[in-house]
Amino acid sequence: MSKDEEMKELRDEIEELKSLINNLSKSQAEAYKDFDASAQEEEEKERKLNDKIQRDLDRSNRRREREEHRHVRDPKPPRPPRPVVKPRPPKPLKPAKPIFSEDDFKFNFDFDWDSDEFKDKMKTIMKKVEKASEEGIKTAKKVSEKISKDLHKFLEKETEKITKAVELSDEDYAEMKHDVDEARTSIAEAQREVDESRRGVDEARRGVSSIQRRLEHAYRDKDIEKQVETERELNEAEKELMDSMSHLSRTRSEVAQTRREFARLQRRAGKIRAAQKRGHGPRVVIGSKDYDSDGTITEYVAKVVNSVGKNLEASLRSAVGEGKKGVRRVLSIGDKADETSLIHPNGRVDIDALEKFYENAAELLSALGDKNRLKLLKILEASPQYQKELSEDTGLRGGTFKHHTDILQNEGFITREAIRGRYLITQLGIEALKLAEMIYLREKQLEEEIDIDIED
Amino acid sequence: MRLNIKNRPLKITHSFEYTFNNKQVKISLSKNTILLPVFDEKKNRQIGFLLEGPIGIIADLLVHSQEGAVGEIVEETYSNVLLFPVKLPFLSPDHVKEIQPLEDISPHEEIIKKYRVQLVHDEYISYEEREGIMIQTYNPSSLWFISQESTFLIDTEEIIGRRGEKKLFWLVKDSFTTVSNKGLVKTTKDLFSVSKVQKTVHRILDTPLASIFSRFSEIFASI
Repeated sequence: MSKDEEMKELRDEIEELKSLINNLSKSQAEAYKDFDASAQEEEEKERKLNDKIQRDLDRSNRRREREEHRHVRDPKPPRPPRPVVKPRPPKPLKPAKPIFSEDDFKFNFDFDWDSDEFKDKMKTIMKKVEKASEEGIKTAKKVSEKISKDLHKFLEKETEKITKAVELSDEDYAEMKHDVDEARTSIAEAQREVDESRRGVDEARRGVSSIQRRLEHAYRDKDIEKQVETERELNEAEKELMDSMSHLSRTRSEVAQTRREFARLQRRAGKIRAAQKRGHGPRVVIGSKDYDSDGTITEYVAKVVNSVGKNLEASLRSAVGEGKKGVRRVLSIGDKADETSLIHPNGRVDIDALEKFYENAAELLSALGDKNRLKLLKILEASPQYQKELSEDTGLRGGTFKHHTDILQNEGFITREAIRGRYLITQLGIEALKLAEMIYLREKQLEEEIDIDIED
Repeated sequence: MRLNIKNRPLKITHSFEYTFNNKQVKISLSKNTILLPVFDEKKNRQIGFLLEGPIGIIADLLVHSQEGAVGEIVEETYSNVLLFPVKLPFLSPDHVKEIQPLEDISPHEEIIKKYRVQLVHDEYISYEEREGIMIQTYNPSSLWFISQESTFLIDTEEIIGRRGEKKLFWLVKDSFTTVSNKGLVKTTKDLFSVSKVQKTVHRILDTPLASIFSRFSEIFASI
């Protein structure tokens, strides 16, 4: 083998060795690298853990501090003053685009009017004018729309307000309707009354005329009794006529008043109705006056009941003219007289027809035929008495007292209250007592007269 | 005033009699009588009761006069009445209890429709602060006013009132009697006067209850 070949071989070996060394170094480097990475990871982990622990510690410390100084809050740091913002300089107004350029109006009077140049210029001008007008129309539309929108809103608000005001008066409206109906019925009633009074007046007139005719006949026949009777009738009929005429006039005035009231109500109801229909209109003020008082019904009824008697009494007294003119004829009240006439028309007494009189009168007189009963009547004449007082005054007790009072009660000489039980003497009882007194006094007088005669 | 009843009935637990403080009127109510509250529809406020069931009224409408007792003892029984006001002196928990609502209230509503009551506040009448009750009946139609001192009955056939112990007025078909404080009796049978009073009374009775009060002065002032 030559040297060269040996050298070559050696070089190859060296090369191989070099590559081996390289590989080894590479693998060693890799091995180191791996080792370093694991170490770094561990370090990283440890660091993270430490950080976490530190963070937790910090947090817990902070919490503790916060809890300790909970009541002492750190005042908020003052807000840093706002940076003064410099006002922006107003934007320079854009120069309005001239619709027409100066060149548009530069006419050369030597210009040929029929030239194409002029025509083109005119066309451009026309176009610009059209454009400007379109823009103007658009802006006008916008403005008008806005205005109309605002107006609509305003109107809506107003109408809502007004409708609310009208809605409030619904109840009032219903009430008003009811009042109007009532007024209508009352007018109808009043009208009926007027008609009735008118009829009454007509009848009274007819009656007067008929009586007048009868009076004329009576004068003609020279029947004096008839004349007197008819004259009295005429006077009465005339009075009645006057009465019914005054009643008619009164009723008429009442009707007129009711009509006025009705018209007022109708006007008010009409206003409300119109307001409701349109949804706007005059504001309806709820009436401040109400039919019912603010007081309770209880108080009201109590008051009315107490006052009713006084008014009624006074009114009825005034109705018959008592106290001013006096009652025309005063008669005693009581049961109607027995229909059996005690005196015959010819002046003769029909003895047989008076059986009823005999029976009743005997019973009545027998009821008086006892000194205890007369005593009872005399006591009761002064004032009503309870049973106890009467019993003490008369000395009658128990069954005897009841026997006597029953007889007097049956004959209608006394009566007894249903609630308090007091005994009262009746008008018949007073008359019976007076009769007994009269007979007694008359007898006494006769006796005295006889005594005087004897002495003389 | 529109009347309305509500289905909140009260029931009389046992029969009893009640004498008013004026010692002139006694009413008797029987067991199981039902009282329904009457409301003023407009104000939704109770104003009285509708009493369904027999109610007996006995009144001593007579006084002692120089000519003896004048007046009469009135005894009436009604099947249903309206009672005013809400505070009735004879309704106490001893006699009354609340019961379950009635199944059918329509018959009672029909009855209440027949009554026409209007209570109108009136300036003309001078009032006295005393208690009083008012009883209105429909068939036969009559009005009772019972107060501390007085009792008045306005009936279709007669009108009779007693004030205290002495005063009385009494209008019947053909006579009109009054008894004054001194016991003087005045009776008129003059048909002209009686018819005048009768007309006046009929005019009152034809008008609703409100008008009786409110138009008293107006009606009578013109006579």
